[in-house]
Amino acid sequence: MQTSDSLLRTNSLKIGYRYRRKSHTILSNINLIAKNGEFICLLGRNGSGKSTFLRTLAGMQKELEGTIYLNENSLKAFSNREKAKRIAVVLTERLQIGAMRGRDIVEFGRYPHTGWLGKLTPVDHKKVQHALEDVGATHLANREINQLSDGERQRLIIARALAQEPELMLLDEPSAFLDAPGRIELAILLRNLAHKRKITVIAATHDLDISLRTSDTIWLITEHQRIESGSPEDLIASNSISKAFSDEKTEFDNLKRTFKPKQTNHQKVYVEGEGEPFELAQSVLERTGWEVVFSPHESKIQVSIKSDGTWRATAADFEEIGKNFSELASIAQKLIVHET
Amino acid sequence: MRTNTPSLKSINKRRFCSFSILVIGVIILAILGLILGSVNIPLSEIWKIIIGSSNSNTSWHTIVMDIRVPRTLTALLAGAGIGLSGLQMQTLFRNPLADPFVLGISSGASLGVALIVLTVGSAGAIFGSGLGFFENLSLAISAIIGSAIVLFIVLIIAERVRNAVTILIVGLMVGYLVSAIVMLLVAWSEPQQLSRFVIWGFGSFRSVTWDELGILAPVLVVGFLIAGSILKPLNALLLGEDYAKSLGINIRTLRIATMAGSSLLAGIVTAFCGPIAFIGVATPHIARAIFKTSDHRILVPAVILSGAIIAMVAEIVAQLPGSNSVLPLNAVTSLLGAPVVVIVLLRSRLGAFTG
Repeated sequence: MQTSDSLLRTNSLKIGYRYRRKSHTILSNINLIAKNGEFICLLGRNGSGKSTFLRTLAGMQKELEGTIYLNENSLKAFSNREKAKRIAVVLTERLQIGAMRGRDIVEFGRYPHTGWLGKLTPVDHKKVQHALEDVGATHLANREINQLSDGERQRLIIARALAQEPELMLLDEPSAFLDAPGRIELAILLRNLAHKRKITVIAATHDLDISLRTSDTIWLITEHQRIESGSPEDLIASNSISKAFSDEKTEFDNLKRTFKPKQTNHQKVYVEGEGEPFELAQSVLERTGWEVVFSPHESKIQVSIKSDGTWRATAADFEEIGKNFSELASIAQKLIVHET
Repeated sequence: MRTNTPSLKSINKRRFCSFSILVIGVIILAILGLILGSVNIPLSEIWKIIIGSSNSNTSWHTIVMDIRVPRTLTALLAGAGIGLSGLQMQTLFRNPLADPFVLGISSGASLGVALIVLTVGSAGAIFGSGLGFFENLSLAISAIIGSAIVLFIVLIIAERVRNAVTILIVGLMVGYLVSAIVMLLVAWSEPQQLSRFVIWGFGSFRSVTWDELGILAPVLVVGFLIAGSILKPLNALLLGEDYAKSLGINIRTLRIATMAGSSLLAGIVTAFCGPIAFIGVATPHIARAIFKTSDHRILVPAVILSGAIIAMVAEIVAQLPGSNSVLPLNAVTSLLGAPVVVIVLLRSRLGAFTG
């Protein structure tokens, strides 16, 4: 395998915790490669070991076995300061910091590069400004930290990581405090940073659909305590994503890249229509407990929907029409027979 | 651009002004400390005595050189030292209420002092009046070791308990525990040593002799130097331990340096001035309020200056200018400092370090 453009490589890595001479393995046999400028999302269920893996990669926690290579040098060979010049982290813990301005937070990123007093040169100031611009946070530079929203703080913390000028950026659930548009913006920001600045970005996240749409590579923690690597599409096609996350109550929709509740009572409905109204009608019927099928013959009722949202529901012994989706929902609820 | 966010230039200008005011405050209070007292001595005469060109009466000379100058110097240095110790502990514990007195570090120093005064002291020397150099030195070392041990214990417990208020309670309990041992020593000691020890416990800057200053001052300077050498990592620690680590800071070394520095400062001051209440916790908050920053590069000099000012004010108030009676110093510092702690508690969400 060609490794000339690889930044990070793990060799038979085993991670976990050591407690009173006993070791508790969380993930083992990890053999992964991260290339320069690659945007990687680390996916896995709650408690699957995402944070532990990131902390181990950052050198903040000792691996149980195996080796991590950064530029083909063992991570152990780096001093704290050398590591800090190459690896920046964004953690889940909330900053509890007193009187500081936005710019002060970003300036922390220059610490590994400055002298004992932490005095910044004009070059350092320029890099801080550059980092603020890259994350779109110049307007936060002079504001007091404790007056900022969680999303604004998160931007500054990422700007701080950028100002560190790392080769590798590790983020642990960076979107945890953000709203829906903020999450997408963040993912796009990280992808752009990876591609433009050639920083390898590895982000642990729960935003399945966003990461499947934005990342170059997915590292997926499987149910067998391994990490599977591949492009988002390959992992969808091989049903790996579905297997890693689905359980008896949910199933993964490969095309929509989201999870939906599993239908269990198998009462079938056929929907006829086009475009958005068709999709919405389908969603109404699915959430009321119906299984949408593609042939009218095996279905109990048939629903046809027009482009203006009016619908007609027909069955063997009845017919009903309506103007909007809430009417459709109440009919669908009335008609479904719940198993006892 | 927002109008309510000051530019860097105006911030620097304001900081320069604040520092100037603090320096002037230190000078004025030092002069006041030399002038005020039960005997009226003109300032010009005091100056002559200090520079050694005076031929005035010897009682004035004694009052100035053996009482007022050491008293003022002690208040200045001890206030700075105990304030700085408080600042370091607040950053180390990430707790706005940490200080040597609250966390029981002073009690540890008290135990060290009690061991020397109430046991070794009974061999002959009388505490407070004319201990020799080596007795003084052993007193200092004993107090520093006592404070370092308590700080170490509280820090280990703080590792497991993250909640700020719980750590304070733990500090109180450790303090009680140590006080209990001191009480045992007290119960077995001679009445004369006992009264000396009780008076020491009130806290005082006025009992410190030149000989004792000869130990106090250099040790405090070492403490200041240690604090000065870890300004940058202390700042990084404000982000939390994990972030500090990710910025290349060796947490273990930093902890040891901070612990050594702050127990040196707290221990030496307690050894000679008694356990001083509340200056340690109040001073950093006052400095943060004045300079509106958590940056240790600003805060350390600011705390040194404002700690000196607070201690000198407390000392002047304690001697009740115009009267012949003297209040216990801790009564004054508690009156000034306890409200500050309450205000901080009310303003910050419990358990959070809001600085």
